[in-house]
Amino acid sequence: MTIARLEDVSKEYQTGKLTVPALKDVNLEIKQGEFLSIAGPSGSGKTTLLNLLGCLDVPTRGRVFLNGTDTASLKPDTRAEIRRHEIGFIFQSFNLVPVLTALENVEFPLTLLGHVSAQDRKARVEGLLKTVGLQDMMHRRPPELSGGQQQRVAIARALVKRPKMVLADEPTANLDSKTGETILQLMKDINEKQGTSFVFSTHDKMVMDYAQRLIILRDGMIAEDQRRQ
Amino acid sequence: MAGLLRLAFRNVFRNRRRSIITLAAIALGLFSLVVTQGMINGMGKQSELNIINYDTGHMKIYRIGFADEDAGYDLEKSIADPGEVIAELLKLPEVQAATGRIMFPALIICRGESMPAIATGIDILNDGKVFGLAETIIEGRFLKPGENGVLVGEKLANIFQLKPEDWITLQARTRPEPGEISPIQALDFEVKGIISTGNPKIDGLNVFLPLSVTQESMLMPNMVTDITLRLSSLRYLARVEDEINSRLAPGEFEVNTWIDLAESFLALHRMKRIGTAVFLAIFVIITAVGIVNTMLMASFERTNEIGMMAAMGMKAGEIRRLFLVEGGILGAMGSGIGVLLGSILTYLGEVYGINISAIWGDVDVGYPIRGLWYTDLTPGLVIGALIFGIAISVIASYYPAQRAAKLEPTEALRHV
Repeated sequence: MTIARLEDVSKEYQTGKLTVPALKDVNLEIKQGEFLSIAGPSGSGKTTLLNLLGCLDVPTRGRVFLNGTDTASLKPDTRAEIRRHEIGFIFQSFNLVPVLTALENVEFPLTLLGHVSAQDRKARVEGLLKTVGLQDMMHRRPPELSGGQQQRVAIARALVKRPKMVLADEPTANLDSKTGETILQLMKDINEKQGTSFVFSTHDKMVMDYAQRLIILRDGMIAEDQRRQ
Repeated sequence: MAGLLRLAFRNVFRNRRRSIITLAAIALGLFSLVVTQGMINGMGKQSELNIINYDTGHMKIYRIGFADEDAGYDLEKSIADPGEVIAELLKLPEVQAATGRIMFPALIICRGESMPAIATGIDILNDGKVFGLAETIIEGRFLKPGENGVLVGEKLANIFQLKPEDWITLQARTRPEPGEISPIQALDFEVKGIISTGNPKIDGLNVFLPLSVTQESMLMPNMVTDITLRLSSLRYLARVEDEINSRLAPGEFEVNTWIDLAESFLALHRMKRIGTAVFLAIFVIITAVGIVNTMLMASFERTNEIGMMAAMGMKAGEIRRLFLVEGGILGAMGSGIGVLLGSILTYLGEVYGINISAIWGDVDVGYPIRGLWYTDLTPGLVIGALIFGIAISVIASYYPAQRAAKLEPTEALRHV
């Protein structure tokens, strides 16, 4: 099942009087359960592509479909609703709320959903923290956790609302290679067990090696689209 | 909502030092507001009691024309057979007591010096039911019916260096017979007591003498110039005024409540209240600039986090609300501390009083009070100050909140 589709998508940024193209006529289809990595040199458009897939931005031209809905024409609040329910985000610098504990950080997206009961929230959050191996650290705040532990919290936070797709922007960039691999293995396991789609942007060779599908961007265009077993 | 509140609360103390400084500024502003308003309210309340107890009663009834500004005290416009009018007035259930008085301008002459004054003949047996002069005696004693004695205001007594048993001469024009010029009467009176009411008008200008002596001296048998009433409660003021107006002969009498009679004092008090409130409001608004600064700094520091929250699906309105709630919490805590401390101090001022003469000496501050000045802490003041503090804080947080809400998620996430 297709969960995201880009049709002739171009994105340009205005820098003063200069128009800088970030993506040029990109066509892409992502299916449910894919473990996909977007690679390419700096400035190739990886983050822009991720932002468009994540409804954080709209294209200058073309259409972005998420579950069949064209998101380009939606109002900011409607796009926020889509992000709230259907997309999980993992960031390079973890972006946890420092004043909340690991447990509260993971719980945060559920409080935005509103309709999840306190009991259900507790069960889901604790279950996920156990899955990512942080059951003994759930009451610690981010400054009391290592980088790897913080990224695990971020993964749990991205998964807690059971999104269709998780977008991860260079998730291993701030981690040592051993921790990075553990994190990747964790996401891979979740992908295989729960069927959640993962889309990464990365420079990291190891992330590319883990990916089922590797898209290489160059100058805002898809240069390669490789599928692996 | 609970999650938002928890997050907002923790965010407030993210930068502890900055928040404490802002809290202290809000607290100081609200503390000053409560204390100053409590002092002004107390001053107003105490002055109100003073005016009622020693000067105006709850309301006064004159013959029309008696107290016209041009005519001064026109003794031709006196009330004859006041007993009948008083009996009629006492039929009203709200009227607790009524007493007749004669007020007339007089010249006090003593030891070769003279000074204009207001002399008032009081019904010795009934006056105490309406006024409280007896409790203000600081030297000598109260008057006895029919005696040739006077009570003199403290300041007036000081001017003439009068003491009980001294003698003064009162010179005044008696009530004229119709079509005639009133003769001047001069009579000697023994000072029986010195009174100190704290009301500069009474203490500096008035002498009191028995009504019967006044009636006889001023050629006003069985007459008074005004009837003063004390009601069972000030709540009935307007009702009783209407009732009296409908009962007494129309066009003959005028009814003046204490509010009408103390108009100039009340206007002065109102101006002082407004002036102080405006000054303090400006002070509190200046502290609001501190809140704007604190919240703006927070929104800059948390730009990346705001981007993350937007990515999680938080809408612009929800981000705005988070910052407004943080401002509200800051305001509620600062106001809470300020109002609490201000209330404690104002309460102490209400119980123990503030010694005015220790602060101002003998300076007339335009308020008829003396000795101890009691502050007045009301629920309205406490609640009003709290609401004001929180509202100002929330309003001050609006701009930083709006800035945070308007951030583009992609821009915010890129922010380092």
